[in-house]
Amino acid sequence: MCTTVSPPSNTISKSYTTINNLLNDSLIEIFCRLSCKSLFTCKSVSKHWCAIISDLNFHFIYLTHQHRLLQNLQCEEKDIDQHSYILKPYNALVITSKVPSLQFGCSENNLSLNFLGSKFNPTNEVQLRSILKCVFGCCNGLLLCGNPRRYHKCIYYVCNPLTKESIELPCAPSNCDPNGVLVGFTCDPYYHIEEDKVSIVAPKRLFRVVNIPAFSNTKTTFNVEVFSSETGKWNEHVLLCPKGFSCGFSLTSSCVEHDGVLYFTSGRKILIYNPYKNEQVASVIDHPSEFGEAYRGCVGVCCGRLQLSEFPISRSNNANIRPYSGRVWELDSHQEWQIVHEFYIPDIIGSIFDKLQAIEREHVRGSSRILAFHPYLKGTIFLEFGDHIICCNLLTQEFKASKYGGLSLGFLPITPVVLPWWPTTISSFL
Amino acid sequence: MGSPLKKIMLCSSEKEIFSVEEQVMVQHSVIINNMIEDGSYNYEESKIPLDCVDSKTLKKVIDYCTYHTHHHNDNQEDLEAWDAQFLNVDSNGLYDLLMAANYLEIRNLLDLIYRTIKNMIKGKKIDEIRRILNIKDHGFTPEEEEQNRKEYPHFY
Repeated sequence: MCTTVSPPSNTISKSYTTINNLLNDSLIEIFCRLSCKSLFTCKSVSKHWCAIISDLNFHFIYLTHQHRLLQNLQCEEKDIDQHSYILKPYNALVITSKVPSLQFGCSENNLSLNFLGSKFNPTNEVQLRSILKCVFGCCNGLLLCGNPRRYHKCIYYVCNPLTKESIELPCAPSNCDPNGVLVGFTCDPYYHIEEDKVSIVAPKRLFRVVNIPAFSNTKTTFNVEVFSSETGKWNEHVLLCPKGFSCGFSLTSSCVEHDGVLYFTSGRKILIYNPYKNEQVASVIDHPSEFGEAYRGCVGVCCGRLQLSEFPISRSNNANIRPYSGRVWELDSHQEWQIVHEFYIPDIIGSIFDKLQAIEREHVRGSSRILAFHPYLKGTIFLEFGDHIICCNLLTQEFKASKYGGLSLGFLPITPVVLPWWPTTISSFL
Repeated sequence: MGSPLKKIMLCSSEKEIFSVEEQVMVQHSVIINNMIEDGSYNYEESKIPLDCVDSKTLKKVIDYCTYHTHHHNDNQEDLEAWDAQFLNVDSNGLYDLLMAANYLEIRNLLDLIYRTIKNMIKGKKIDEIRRILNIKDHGFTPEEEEQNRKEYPHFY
């Protein structure tokens, strides 16, 4: 008896084997091992590749593969080893993922906002300074950028730094207030991962941009301007805010986004606004009563919770607070602030503290502060100290310090940028 | 698991017959392992016809399986160096190996080839990828190609 292994239906003679003859399964295996940035290049290599890479089913396989890889990696490595860096010369902190799909080698040179045009491509120091605060928000890998100047039109761009897609929004109804504007951005994700299950969010995806012209006295009603992706238009609303909010220009005015809700910080209050659900009402929460100086801390989201931090570097009115000690509060489900971390930075960074403190005093003139919270690593903060950016895990006391050689960011709010495993394309919102 | 003394016969598309230690193929090829396990291979008469694998490729596949069976205790670095040398073939040779590994379900070899092709693509521009992977017919119309080049000049 002769046993046969049946050949595949399309027996391929040797001389014709090329990558085009490879089974789709093999190509998918190869593509799953590439970064999504490489895959965007690969789409233009051939029509066959383009068809595979554009297919939703492939996105599903790719995301599932990345998720599995991440789970394996989480068992092996220390989280702190991830590479994070300031997206020079802008006020954005890129937090890279351990997942291979997002490791593009020395990516600091690969991500830029130059593609937005000459306005974001500074050639001299003056231009450089003017764009230092051009990033207003990041959500699911899309950035909201703009450079509104006093009395001028407010023009914003939604862009994807990875795919270099961008759109310019129509200018907001009112010109930029001399006291500035508060700006927020939220968009739907491309995919969700819940309990190991990947799902791709169905079109039509939505985004919102919220523009609040500044006012310095406390008001219970004020104007907001909301841009909706589905209408392509700005709408003006009178916002009812019974607890009162003042939106004066200050260095630390900022906005963070979580789950479609925007948290605007100004003064010692946080305005909570949902531009999808209730465009005419907002609530306010006060900072904790024991909270000290805002400009060395930040507001952010860590592991799905709103957090607030402070980092005094000189002895304050409260004699109990040591310089270079920090505190982090978290907003609990009853909308109450709870202290979750108290730390003293010399205890964590040890021997490099003196060196960095000397650099700080000599060159940086005290712009040390907490820049951001890590969006998904519990207890992890990014601290600017001396000429370094230090990523600290306050729970394990591990840290990683890297030199920041860019222009001083002063006390400008820093937007944490986390790139999703598969880029959110702007075209899917239009 | 097959006995180390037993040999099995593999027949290439050119009808050339290769005699291989059974254990070598059983350890690496899911397909051959299944055939031996379910008793459908007859040691006296059978040869396994591999109509889509030519002699040159089959010889390489057998080399791979033999080496990895006998050297699986070597240190990782040495094995990787051997693998790199083993896959130092032109792109068509690589595709032939991939097809053969896929057909015989040799998972280690498949993974090695996937990683190798990935490294050939990673960080490259489109024209380079086409040249390295010998892609002559990209399938785009001249208009589409021009449009792509205009839209993503930095990719080329």
